[in-house]
Amino acid sequence: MMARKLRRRDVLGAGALGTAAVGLGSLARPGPGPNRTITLVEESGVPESRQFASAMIDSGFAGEVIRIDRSLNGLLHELESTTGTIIGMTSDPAAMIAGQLLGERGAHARHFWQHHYTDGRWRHRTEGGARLIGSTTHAWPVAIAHQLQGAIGSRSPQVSNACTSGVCALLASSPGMLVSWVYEFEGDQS
Amino acid sequence: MSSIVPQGVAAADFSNALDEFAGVVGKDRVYIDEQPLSSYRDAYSPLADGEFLPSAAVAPDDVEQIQNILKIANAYKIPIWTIGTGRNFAYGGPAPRKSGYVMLDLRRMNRIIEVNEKYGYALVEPGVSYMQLYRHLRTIGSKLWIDPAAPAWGGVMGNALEHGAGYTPYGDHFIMQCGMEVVLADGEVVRTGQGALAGSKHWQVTKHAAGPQFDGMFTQSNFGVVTKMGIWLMPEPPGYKPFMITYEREEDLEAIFEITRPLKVNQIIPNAAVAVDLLWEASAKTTRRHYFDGKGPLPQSARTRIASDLHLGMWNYYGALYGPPPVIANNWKIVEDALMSIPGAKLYLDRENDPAWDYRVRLMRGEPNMTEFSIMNWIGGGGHVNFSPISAPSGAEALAQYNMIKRRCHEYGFDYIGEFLVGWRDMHHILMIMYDRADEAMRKSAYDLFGLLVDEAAEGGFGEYRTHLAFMDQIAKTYKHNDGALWDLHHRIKDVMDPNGILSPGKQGIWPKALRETS
Repeated sequence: MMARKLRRRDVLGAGALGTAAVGLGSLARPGPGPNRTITLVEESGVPESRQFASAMIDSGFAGEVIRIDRSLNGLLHELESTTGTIIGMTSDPAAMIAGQLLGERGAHARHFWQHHYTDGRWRHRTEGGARLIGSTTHAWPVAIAHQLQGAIGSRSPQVSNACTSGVCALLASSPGMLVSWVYEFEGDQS
Repeated sequence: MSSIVPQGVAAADFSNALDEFAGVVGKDRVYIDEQPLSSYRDAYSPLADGEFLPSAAVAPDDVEQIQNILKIANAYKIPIWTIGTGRNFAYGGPAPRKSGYVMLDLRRMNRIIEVNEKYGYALVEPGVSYMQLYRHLRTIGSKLWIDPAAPAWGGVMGNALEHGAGYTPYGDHFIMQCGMEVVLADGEVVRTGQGALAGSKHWQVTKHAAGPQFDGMFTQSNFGVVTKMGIWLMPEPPGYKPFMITYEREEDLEAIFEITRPLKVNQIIPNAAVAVDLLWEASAKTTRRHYFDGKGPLPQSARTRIASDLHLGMWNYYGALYGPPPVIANNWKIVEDALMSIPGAKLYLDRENDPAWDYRVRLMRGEPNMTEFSIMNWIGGGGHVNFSPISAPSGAEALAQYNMIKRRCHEYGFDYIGEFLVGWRDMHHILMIMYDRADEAMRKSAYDLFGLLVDEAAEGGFGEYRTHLAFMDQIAKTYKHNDGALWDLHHRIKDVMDPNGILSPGKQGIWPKALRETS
């Protein structure tokens, strides 16, 4: 239908906001690209987000960690110039805000997995194998961290999956609805 | 690439128009792929996913580019939908009124053109956010405050054009607006007020000039593209005293606003005095699941437990005093005597580890933040749509609205989550209809509830001041005086100023002639 295709090659507002690198480290092992920077977002008031971030850091996978508090202001401050791959497990509102900020700067949503607590169980909608996640009740963010690392490193299509945990209590201060997400700036090797 | 084409536009013409847009702004600033276009979706839409999607977006950087884009849109009769920062969530976010429109995305036009410390104003472009202006003022060492809407990423201009409100004494944003530059549909550039005088230095200090004042017609409308706007900024006061008072009973609402009215009308309380219901307040600190994991409205026993656990009232009243300390001390005596006269009232001048207190106190002193989004954690995956009727600052009207709306919320299985704010002579009631985005039935119920409330409020004499895209037509039709004469006037103006109907068709129920019959 179209005479030609137009492609987005730039990022909205980048000129005004600045594109300086934020001093991120390199991956310690193969990830989404050679020497590709990774930024990890931790929502410090959310226990599952802390577990997820710890697991990522323990595996040596993360570059810089951005910690945001309940004000969520850190998302505005930190995501305006971040490049490379950005990973997080956050509450749904924080995921929405991150998605807006990164999406309009040209980042692609690579993974968007949902974790919903209802009727005394966690229900996970992910990609890839679900057995490990389904068999955990409180340590599932650790399992998600490992599974997400595998998904990021893989360029083959991921299969959608859903699973439900055993009966468990909701941790105090958990929002009960979380999203683990990965955004990536295409062609960026900074 | 998006497969959507604007309604009534031939594919070949659309393709040519996109080529010409690219000639104006560069290929990299015309977006047609699904990924960039997905950022124009309404993340909290009460409609099924996939509605209100644009066909393309074009992002100009200056007025001349806008003029050229409008010329092309007129030539091909392409409908365009203008956004500033596109953060109008709960009312549609960045999404267009109809699928197929081309987004006129002004986020790149984010220059703070002037800050005038002496006279207390800023002149900004459409893409300037509250957080951006706040940071800029702090960077240059300004002693001026901004008045942010609750989410810090909102647009200074867009919020004023949408009749938005904040929480300092400068909280009525359109009243605090002064001077606009507007590109009309035919490309002509107009400056309002003293801005029409060549070389005027008074564009941002007075709204008035010889002749009619037009600024209002460019708010919540589709008569032009506003490209610059002046906004008055409050000088930092020598003193600031925020306070919160909790009230035990739902029916206290009537007394609260009977007491508030003279305090507001006489400017003893200079900022927007707000009464926040229990659950709105609680949702900044906890989630519904921690108290009740069932369907339907929260049982009274759970509400009582929440109030006790979190030291909250059924209503939680926030306000602040500003000025020299002796003035604050004098006025505080009046405020305290009046508002503490309701039995059971508890006063707080500080609250530890309370994110709700923290973000309200910040807002009332002009510090933007994003905390209000945390409220969506209340039910998890929270989508929301705001129902916003206006009334007088009357206790009886507040209680009548509250009872009517709460009853309907409960009938439809929703919690009442709302607040009342008193401005100069008005009272805004914001009902947040919160639903689980993953629950299709709940989303549909939220939509149905909203539609019912619009009609019932209108029957009770209450109109909305602002609304989501999906309800603009319905709300326009509630303004029925003299057989809908006001919207007839809007349409007569639209037909003259934008004969091809290219500017934001359907915005606020104002449709161009060609689409009026089909809308």
